[in-house]
Amino acid sequence: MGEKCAYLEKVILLILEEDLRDMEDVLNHIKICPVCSREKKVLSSLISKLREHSEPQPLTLSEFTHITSLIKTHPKKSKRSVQNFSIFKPILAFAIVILLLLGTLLLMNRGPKPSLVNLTPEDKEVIEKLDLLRELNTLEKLVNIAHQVPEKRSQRTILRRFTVFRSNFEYKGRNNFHV
Amino acid sequence: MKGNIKSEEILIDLAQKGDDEAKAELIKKYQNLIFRAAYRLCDFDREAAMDLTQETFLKFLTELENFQKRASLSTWLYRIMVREFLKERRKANLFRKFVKKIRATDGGFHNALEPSQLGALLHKEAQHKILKAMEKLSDKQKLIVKLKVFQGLKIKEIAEILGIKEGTVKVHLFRGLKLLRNQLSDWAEENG
Repeated sequence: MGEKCAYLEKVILLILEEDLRDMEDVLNHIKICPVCSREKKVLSSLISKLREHSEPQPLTLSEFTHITSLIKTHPKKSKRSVQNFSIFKPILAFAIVILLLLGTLLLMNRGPKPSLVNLTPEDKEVIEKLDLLRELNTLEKLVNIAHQVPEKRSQRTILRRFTVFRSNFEYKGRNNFHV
Repeated sequence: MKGNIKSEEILIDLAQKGDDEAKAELIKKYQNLIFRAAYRLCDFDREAAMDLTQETFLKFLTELENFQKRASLSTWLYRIMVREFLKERRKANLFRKFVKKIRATDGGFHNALEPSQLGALLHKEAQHKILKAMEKLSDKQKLIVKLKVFQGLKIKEIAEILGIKEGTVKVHLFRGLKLLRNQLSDWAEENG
């Protein structure tokens, strides 16, 4: 590669790649150019020698078996869990959807939360006087104990109404509202 | 040829689905090709070439699912091999730096046992010459010269394997070849 020629690079490529678009041109040039002709000869010989001496003896049967046996015994990357997951993924998604639907249905069947707006005036009155009624109840019990007097009818009626209301309210509200 | 390509595609599909026979078939098909390239990359060290071949196929098996058939299977295997080779070389370089052990210039020959004694000696001498001349080349030039000149891959393939432009491959190749030619032309002519 001491002397220069414009075709030299193409000559090297021709030797190396063995298929060029303008191969005919390069081959014709080599015939008339002593620089390229010599270069082709030297490089072809060099490349052939390099290939020849870099070529290994073919793998023997024992070497071949050795390599493949080591490959076979190599612990493969476990994909089982991932594969299983991918198989069960749609099933899992379906189960989640079903659970969500069931949950929604259950929530809908629970019924509306008892509201104070829907109460009758009598019930409202009872709620408003809840503390007072409690106190009255306690006081009445104390008085009854002290004087051994039977309960008055009106007070007993109010208290019964209160107890009934309370139990109904608790049942409807499912413990959301504790008196 | 077309039939071969088709059957290879089928084999790849089967192997990707986990068919062990298809995997074994593909390994069998490409083992010699990869071993020959590995031998050249590993400076004619047979033992190292066997290890590299093995590593290449182990990686091939673990990464087979990711193979998207954009390149040919051989190109993909070469790519794995070069990657593994560079990884091993980096490790070896680190180790060498650590223990300050200088590699002997005839490294690798102890494993290259040839059948005929005289033939083996001549072969070793030639390999020694080649390796000595190769020392003048940069790492990239060495790699490209080994893949192109020794292994006979196409420039386009090398560009794909190394992930660089064809022009870059040519530049490294011409420079590397020039260095080799300057040192080995006499030897090539007297032996040619």
